[in-house]
Amino acid sequence: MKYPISFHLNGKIVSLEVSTQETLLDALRQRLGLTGAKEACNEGNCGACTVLLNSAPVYACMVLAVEVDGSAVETVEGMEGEELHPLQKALIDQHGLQCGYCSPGILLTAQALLAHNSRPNKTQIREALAGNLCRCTGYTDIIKAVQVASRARR
Amino acid sequence: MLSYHYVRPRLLPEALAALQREGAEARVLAGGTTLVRQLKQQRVPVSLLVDIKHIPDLHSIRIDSRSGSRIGTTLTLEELAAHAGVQKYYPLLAEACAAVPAWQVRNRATLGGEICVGSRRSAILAALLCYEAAVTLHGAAGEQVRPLSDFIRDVYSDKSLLHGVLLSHILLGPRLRRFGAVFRGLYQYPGQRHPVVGAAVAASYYEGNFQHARVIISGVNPHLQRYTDVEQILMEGTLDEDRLQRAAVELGQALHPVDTTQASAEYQRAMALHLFRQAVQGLRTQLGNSK
Amino acid sequence: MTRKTLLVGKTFPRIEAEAKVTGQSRYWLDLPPATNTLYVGLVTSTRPHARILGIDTAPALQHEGVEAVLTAEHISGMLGNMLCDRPILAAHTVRYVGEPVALVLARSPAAAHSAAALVQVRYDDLPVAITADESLLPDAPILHPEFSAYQGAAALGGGDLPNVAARFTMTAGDLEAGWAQADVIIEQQYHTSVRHHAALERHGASARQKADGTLILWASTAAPYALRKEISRALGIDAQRLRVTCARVGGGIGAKSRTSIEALVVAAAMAYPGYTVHLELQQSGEFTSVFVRPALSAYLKMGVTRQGEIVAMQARYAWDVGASADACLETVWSAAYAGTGPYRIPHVAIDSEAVYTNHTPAAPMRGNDMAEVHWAIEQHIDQLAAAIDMDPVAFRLHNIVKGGDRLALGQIMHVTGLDQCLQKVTAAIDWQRRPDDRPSMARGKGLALFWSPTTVAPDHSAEACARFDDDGCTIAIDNEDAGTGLHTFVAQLAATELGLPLDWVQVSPVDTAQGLQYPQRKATAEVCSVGNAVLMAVRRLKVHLVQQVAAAWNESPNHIDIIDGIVISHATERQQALDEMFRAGIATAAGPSFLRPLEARGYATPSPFFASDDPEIASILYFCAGAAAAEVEVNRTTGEVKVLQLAAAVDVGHAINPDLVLSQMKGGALQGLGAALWENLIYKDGVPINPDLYNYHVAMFTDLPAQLFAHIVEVPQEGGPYGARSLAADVPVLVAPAVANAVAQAVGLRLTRMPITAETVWRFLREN
Repeated sequence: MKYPISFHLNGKIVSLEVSTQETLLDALRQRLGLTGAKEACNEGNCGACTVLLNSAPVYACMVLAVEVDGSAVETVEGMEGEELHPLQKALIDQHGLQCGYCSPGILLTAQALLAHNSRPNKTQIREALAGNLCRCTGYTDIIKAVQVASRARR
Repeated sequence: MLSYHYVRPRLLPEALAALQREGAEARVLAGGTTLVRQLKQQRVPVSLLVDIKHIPDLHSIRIDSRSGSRIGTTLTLEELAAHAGVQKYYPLLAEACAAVPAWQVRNRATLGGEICVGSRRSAILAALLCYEAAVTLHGAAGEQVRPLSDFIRDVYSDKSLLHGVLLSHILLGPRLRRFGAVFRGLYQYPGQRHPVVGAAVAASYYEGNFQHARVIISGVNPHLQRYTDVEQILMEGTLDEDRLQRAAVELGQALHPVDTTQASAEYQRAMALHLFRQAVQGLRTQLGNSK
Repeated sequence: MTRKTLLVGKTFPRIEAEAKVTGQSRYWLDLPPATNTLYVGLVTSTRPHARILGIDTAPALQHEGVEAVLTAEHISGMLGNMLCDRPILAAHTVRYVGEPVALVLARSPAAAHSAAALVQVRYDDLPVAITADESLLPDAPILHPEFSAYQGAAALGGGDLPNVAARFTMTAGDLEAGWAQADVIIEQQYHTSVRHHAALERHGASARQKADGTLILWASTAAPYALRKEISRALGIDAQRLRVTCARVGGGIGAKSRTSIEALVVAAAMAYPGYTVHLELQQSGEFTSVFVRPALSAYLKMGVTRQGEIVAMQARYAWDVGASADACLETVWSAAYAGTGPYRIPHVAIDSEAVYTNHTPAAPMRGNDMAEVHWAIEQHIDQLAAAIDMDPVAFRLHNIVKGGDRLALGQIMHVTGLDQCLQKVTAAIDWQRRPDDRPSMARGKGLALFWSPTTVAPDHSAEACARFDDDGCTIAIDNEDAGTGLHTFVAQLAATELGLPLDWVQVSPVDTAQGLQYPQRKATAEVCSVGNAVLMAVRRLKVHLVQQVAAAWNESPNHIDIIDGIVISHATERQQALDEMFRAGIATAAGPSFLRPLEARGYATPSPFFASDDPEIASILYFCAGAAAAEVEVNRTTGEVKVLQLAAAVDVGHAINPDLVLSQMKGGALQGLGAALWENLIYKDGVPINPDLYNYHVAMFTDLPAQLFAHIVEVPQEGGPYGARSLAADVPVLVAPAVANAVAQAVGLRLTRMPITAETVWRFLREN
């Protein structure tokens, strides 16, 4: 079955017809061409597909596209303004990425964290990011990046 | 290939009508953390999804320490963990919701979903049983309120009881004086979704004795339940080591673990008894009786 | 001249970092969909070992949107690099759950998926052996009865026992004499677990045959050249007919350097010319149909004198390689020739064998899997030290291999910073201070040393191509960077040699169309071989460039240099920016002189430090060495183990990019911690029961120890580019035995089986 939906995507309204089988991740990647949110486990276990739904981090692979009608969705493509977002810059500078597959999801979860808590400590960062797996870095440099970014924010 | 419809009712009667019209292949969609996975695996026949997240009444919460509280089924774990009233009057519930590791899951998973999935390892359900929760159900037979423990037991033996039924609210009793509740769990790693084994003990405390005792063990028996014989022993008189030992023996007899890949039956039993003692100890500390 | 050293030994962000953090990087799954696509629904074995009695494809063929169902009747061939022992599709027998049996080709992913479920395979079950120990029993089922007919089999020393695919032995001295000298002899069996690489990006591949008969394969691989070689051989086609290209790789951890499902889509594309055949593995397929890490069953016997001298060692390393041994041959070989660990032992007999079992074929995971060998050796070393009442640090320092020592191999050891590594990690966790126990909690500290042979394949030349045009300098090498930082390392070498700013250098996506003639198999030696090939290419490029400028300026090339992108004459102080030269021509008195784009190739054939008499599996270039230390807390009642501190130090020769090296080390250490405590792919009656990221635990943010130290030690490697030896990718090697030794110190128990779960500790505490 097809349903028309419209939602705010990175601040702009988009409208499309989706089937009930499509997830938000499918819609973003296949219908809207935004491949920043990564498809990895596709079962809600790894966090590579994390996007913000009404400002809250969710696994886009576990949200149906029809459900987001009327909502606001933010993806990594919306993070950058004129310049890189402080979190993006810090992730680069602190070497918080290797293969990079987890990076977009981690950036969005971290962005939501900083919106709630502008100066998180290490434990708070670890707990907030517990739903994002990284197989490469060992996490230490990602935590450092979030701390650096929190200090850099105005 | 699976093909299903989707409706987004704004009122409870609309949702109920849709569920009843469609019959056994209608599914209630709340947070979707379990249902979406099932849909992907195509293991369940589904013809209609009834998204109940936009029914304001089901997303309402009223916390009242005197007359009891009413929590809408679509409150998310994150909302409950952060709710000041829940934190104050039902701290074990707030704690259990906050302990679910992934923020992305807490933002979607709902209290109603947790109940309908009914995992025997759920620390959230153990907390609800400590507060003697009841659930409001709407089905073909109209509205009824049932104790959560009965609901869990019945759904365990017959999953089809969930068909055509909508769980609208979770009711928690008035707050008892000097009441506390403690959960102790054994995790294979800190971020595990559910502890392998857990023990919840709750009671109020008067003049050296426990009253209103509640004992729940998670992860061992096939479904979550209270161990009323053990509760009785805890309430019979002053809680000394002898009584605690008798309670533990009684509990041991009520547990029927089977080997799983996570833990052998033997280990489950040993840990359940250890965690039970830890929880009792924790409760005494919480209630200001370190004896 | 001083500029030259600025770009090596200095931290830069990885060159592709910005594309990754903005979501602009394209991984395989992000490539735009092709038109005219057939989606593959993979039908895989549900049985660990069975004869295929029949495959009923009719119901699937009737499914809407299904174009064809292909089985071994349509696709045949054996994959393998040195030993062709992996059928592209199972023919008469299935040997593991997850083995591809048939392909449904359909017009939509959904149709492919549903129709695949309709293919009925009838099986006749055979007995199952799931561990090396089981496969070596006299009455074990024989997995490959036709082994001796496999291409490559004859040369491997296997086949003497039914399930042994390869055997390598190393002996030195006189073992009997060694035992006679020993005052204490300890024997012990150790086991590691089957683990999974669990890179976040799953495997996928798509292929198309064009009208001219050429084939193109797009795959989530780090090794396009290796895939081309293996697939073209298996399918019996000319390698030049197949082009293999890759996108960014979302983590390989070893599993994306070898061929598996990619051959299937190429074969299907040949059957359906003009269509793009597209196969994406789902998560359970990623765990069962591609690769797992090999498990080791190790028997060790070592003798030591009261004075602390290790005098003799006998080892049998039985590698559980799953249903195919090919990808593990280098591992099995390395375990024989480096199987003493970093110790000087005069009398040695080591036997290392690849043993077939009924699970997913194994492939190395981060390095050569020397981690598994050290799980045994480093625990054994602690036991020896305890038996003669010697401090584990002093005992190790007394026995470690030092530069100039003669190895059991016969070679003279080169210098490493092993002793410095040991000092670094013991200092990091304050080794001397005995941890304080609390009543219900026991604390302990543990150590481990390691060495790992850096190996190259027999055809170990590497090639690189450097090009200079108005886009700057572009380097082509043979392997993709799956996250190790290889491309950044290469760019730093090139920029340094050419005197360019780092952002003028790019490393192009790897594509066999670039036509490197001597691609190197993806191996631990890429720092050395690829690095040196790049150095040669860019040095040649610079010579050409300088000659052109010198001719235009009418000067001697000896006076011309490039510094920070500016061409300078030391004789006349004339200068011009290089990018401007490309854009506008070389400025001369007679007007601009056109600067031609330049291209140069470089080759490296590192001379091996050790090559065995064995068939040409590999040669050793040198040894990498390092150390780890851990402090743990063990709950005496529940058996739970918590790691409080973890420290690792590696001698990388010269850290070309120190922070990237440290990042590798920290990531590796956490994987090693996972190996010690959690990671375990569990099989019940041959069926994997936890093949997904919910049930197979990969370390999370919340698992990070409170203290994680990583230290670089630099003792330059002769022959390495700028003295570099390694990117430190194989650090997981170190950590697991250090954790095991710490647990042993805490509770006085030796847990020889990986992983160390709470229940196993609890059981030991109760029984002892």
